[in-house]
Amino acid sequence: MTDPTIEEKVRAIIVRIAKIEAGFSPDADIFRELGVKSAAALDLLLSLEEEFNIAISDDAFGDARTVKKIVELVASLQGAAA
Amino acid sequence: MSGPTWEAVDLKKQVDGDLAADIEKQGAYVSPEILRVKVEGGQVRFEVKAGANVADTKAKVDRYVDLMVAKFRKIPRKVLHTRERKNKAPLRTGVYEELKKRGWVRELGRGQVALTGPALNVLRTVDADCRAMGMTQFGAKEESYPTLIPSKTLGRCGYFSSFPQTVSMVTHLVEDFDTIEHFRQANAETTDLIVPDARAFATPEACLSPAVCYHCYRGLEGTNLKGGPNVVTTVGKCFRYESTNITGLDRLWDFTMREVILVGTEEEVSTRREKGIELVKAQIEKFDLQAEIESANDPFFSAAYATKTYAQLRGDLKFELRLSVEPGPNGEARSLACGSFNLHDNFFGRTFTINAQNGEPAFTGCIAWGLERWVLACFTQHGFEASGWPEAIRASVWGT
Repeated sequence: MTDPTIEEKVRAIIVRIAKIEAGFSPDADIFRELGVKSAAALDLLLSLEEEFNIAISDDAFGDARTVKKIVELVASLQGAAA
Repeated sequence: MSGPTWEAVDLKKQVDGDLAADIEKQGAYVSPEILRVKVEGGQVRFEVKAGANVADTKAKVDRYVDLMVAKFRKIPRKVLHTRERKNKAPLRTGVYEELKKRGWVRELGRGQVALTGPALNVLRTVDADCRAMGMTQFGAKEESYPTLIPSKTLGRCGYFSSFPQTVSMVTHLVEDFDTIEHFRQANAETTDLIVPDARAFATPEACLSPAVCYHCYRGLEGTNLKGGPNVVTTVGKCFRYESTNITGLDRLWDFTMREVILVGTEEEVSTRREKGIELVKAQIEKFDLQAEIESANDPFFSAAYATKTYAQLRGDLKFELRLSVEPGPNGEARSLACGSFNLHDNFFGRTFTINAQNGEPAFTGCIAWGLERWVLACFTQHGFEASGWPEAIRASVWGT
């Protein structure tokens, strides 16, 4: 079970960067289904690293295309760092 | 009177060779006072013209470098293919000068050339091969497009936010008798263009096309591709203002591009791009060219550089065919991007409301060849005697 505040923070970052409405499905592909421009990917990655004080590999980030997967990724990296 | 001076700003983080090369290349657009930009020893060094305001220029370089570097995140390049020539003769040097000496290339303006003789034959041979590839291997239909492109179309394609530095805008005098007469009189006794008042120019309604595929997407606006993918091949003049980077046939302002343009579902487009890469591997065999196919990024400007380069490299959206050309001044190996294999996700499908046969916004891609660069690479690798050229193209280039 992941920390629910991670999801809230991830959602807030996506909403801020992509300028989209909150309340989207945690399983939606944020680039394909939510229409987030691919050019926003780097800002999303850097914001996640700063917010959670973690280092995310490009490969892992590339595989995490939904809120659910990003939350799992952040939680696993935080767990690894603990 | 003192001459140009070298100034420097410190890099806030380490940069690799690719980023350093892009900083140097795009440094041409930072200030007209700057002659050259070099990334060396943790600094960006730049040569400033005599009499320039050094403090202002330095502040501008600082802002430019900061925007290029701050967010940059390295994605390692992928090399898909490497090929050596069968022809073991060394790469020719001084090729552009030799082409000019023989009269096969004539410089008509900055970054503007005329081709004739075997140089033109090479361009036509390459183009015919690419065209045939498009039509026989992809079932492409041929289209022709204007040289002008509406500024509105380029804006919708995101060109002004990604590559403003290279845009060539087309303007004309405003429809006003006094303004036109003033201009006429100012230019009556001179062969240089005199612009007595910049307000005489209308806001450019059109630009010179920087690529041929944008016309295709605009032309498909509002369509549903119920019958499957739309594949087009076309050739046209393209224009990218390259400032002080304009060099011989390496980097022209006015050049010729052949494209095969792909519009369809994600799978339809990506499988055809992969097929294009395989076909171009066979093409460089036929032309016996030393080459590499590797991942690449476009010359995004300023703040767009880090974010869009990351997206492009991370998504494997762009690969380039790089053909070997003559070594640099210190003997370093050099190659030029002479072709590219591009995916644009569904950006153009969304922008122009083009739907693929699955009802979703269409994905697009293109395979492109820069034909004058092929001319340079072929002469560099095969020389100026017909006997040195591969048999498959010898007759069409040399007539023997």
